[in-house]
Amino acid sequence: MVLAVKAEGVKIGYIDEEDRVQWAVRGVDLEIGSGDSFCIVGESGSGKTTLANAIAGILPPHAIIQGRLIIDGKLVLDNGRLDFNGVRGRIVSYIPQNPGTSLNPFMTVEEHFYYILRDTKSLSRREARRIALESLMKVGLDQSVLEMYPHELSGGMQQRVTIAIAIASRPKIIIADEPTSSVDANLRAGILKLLNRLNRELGLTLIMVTHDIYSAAAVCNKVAVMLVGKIVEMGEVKALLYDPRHPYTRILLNCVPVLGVKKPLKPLVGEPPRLYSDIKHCPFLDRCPFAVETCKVEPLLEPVDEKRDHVVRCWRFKELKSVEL
Amino acid sequence: MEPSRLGKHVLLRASKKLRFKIGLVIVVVMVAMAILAPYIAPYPDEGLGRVPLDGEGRRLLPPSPQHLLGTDTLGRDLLSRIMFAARAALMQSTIVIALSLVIGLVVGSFAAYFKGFVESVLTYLTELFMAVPSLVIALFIRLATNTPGYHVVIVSLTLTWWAWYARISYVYAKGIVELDYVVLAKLAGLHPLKIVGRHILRVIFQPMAVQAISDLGSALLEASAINFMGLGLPRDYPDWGVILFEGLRELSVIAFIRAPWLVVFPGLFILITTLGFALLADPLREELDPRLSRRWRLWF
Repeated sequence: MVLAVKAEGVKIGYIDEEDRVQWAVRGVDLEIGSGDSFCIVGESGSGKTTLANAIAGILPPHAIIQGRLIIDGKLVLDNGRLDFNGVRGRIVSYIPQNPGTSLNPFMTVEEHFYYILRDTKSLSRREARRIALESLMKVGLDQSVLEMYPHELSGGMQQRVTIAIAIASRPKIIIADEPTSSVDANLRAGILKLLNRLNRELGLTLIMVTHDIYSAAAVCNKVAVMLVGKIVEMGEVKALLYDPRHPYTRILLNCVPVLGVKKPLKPLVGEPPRLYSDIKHCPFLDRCPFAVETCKVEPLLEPVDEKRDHVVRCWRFKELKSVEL
Repeated sequence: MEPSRLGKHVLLRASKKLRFKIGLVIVVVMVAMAILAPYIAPYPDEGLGRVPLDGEGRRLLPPSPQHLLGTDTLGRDLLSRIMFAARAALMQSTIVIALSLVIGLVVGSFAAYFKGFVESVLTYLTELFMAVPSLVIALFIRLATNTPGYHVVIVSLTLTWWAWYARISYVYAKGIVELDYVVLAKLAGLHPLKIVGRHILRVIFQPMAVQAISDLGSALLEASAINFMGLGLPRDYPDWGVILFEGLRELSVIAFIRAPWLVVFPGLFILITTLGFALLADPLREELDPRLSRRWRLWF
């Protein structure tokens, strides 16, 4: 199977005003197969958006990047050297978080398609219009949307338009950065269904970033849980939901309210550590209820069982399996 | 570029307001007067400046059926003079505003988009030009070139006027450059000129154009002031400012008693035209930014 994305020790940091580097992603290795739907879950500041932006090739210029990133067989990132030509917008495409501010209010939907298709594929206006219509059909919108301005569309329609724009240039990989954060629960289900359908029907590799582990479960077949710039647990969605091994994943799953079930929702106390210095201990040390002396050294990603596709970064995952939270 | 429906919508809503209609009528009448001056002026020759043969006997006649607005110090029909003067007035203000708008839009959006050094240089430059009064520049240009004419008015006014547009479009653009669609376009590697043209200029153009329309009147006032001081257009040129000035120069303050029509009518035309542009642009601005008109409804 061809790998859609292969990351080897990717580290991404941002330089702040005082010339300090704040590492958002501190070494991520992952492999995403072609046609997979992959989800990156994590709290705010865990580096999930930065990682997704790196794959989409839209990191700001003040970002510092290390490691290797191979997208669809092309080495786009080799120890600080970036080469996204021919990849960004053509192979990888991006669905922004806020459709409202991501569309130019003075351009019709059709013009959005036209400028993007002209720049990526040098299509004429008529061809662009045809492809725009095709893409809009795929996301469940009709022809009338073409002549509208973004402010004439509802939030859900705007999000659908951004998805249609993302698939218009026929990419192989789509990055969706919290696509459901700005729509209500009903539309969220619709958008997730749509992404799921696109993933299946067009054979797209979908990489979704979210903080809602259950909407991840609804769409994706693989999930990676990120914490303080590192992946702490990764595996098939079923394995991860039914048999979470990392304490953080367990707490994350435990604090989701379930309809019809009365249970106390435990908050996760404490704050994620600052990312200025290189953290040598387990990223969850300060907040973990099971922390012991060994946790002062950072654990490695280890496979849970012999199938080797469910990995976890915890020293005590075996003994903690039977311990209640 | 096809006409934007947003613009049409704004125009449609604004056109229902009485102020807009009055402004439109005034502006249309003035423009028609300027274009048709040779055909509708009662004494076209005199309007262009020829002194009639019996000028001696017709000096400073008060308004009458033959000379609706009276005659000037050389015996020419004042109405014809004023009709021809509308050409100069509209031409000066339109050219000044159009040039200033283009320069201001470009400078403002570039300053907002290219941060850092370019931004500070352009904003300092803008402030520098805002600080200089146009009359002083007009004086310098007049002395340097030593010939009166349109160039004095247009250059001196444009030099000071563009800075205001640069400032306003800078502020507008500053609010846009941080929006996602600009940031994403930038990160995706779109050419900066394309970003400025497609995503910034296009968005700020409409409010800026409305601002420009309402400023046509102010530009006319300033141009008339320069002409009134005798710095711009040559003596005897049909222009409201020049006519006003000549009335006052010949008769000094006594003009107000001996021949008030000579100073009152040109001044009145300047006033009405300025008012017309303001009335025209105000409802447009309100429709473009509905918060402006709705705010008071919340208060009361």
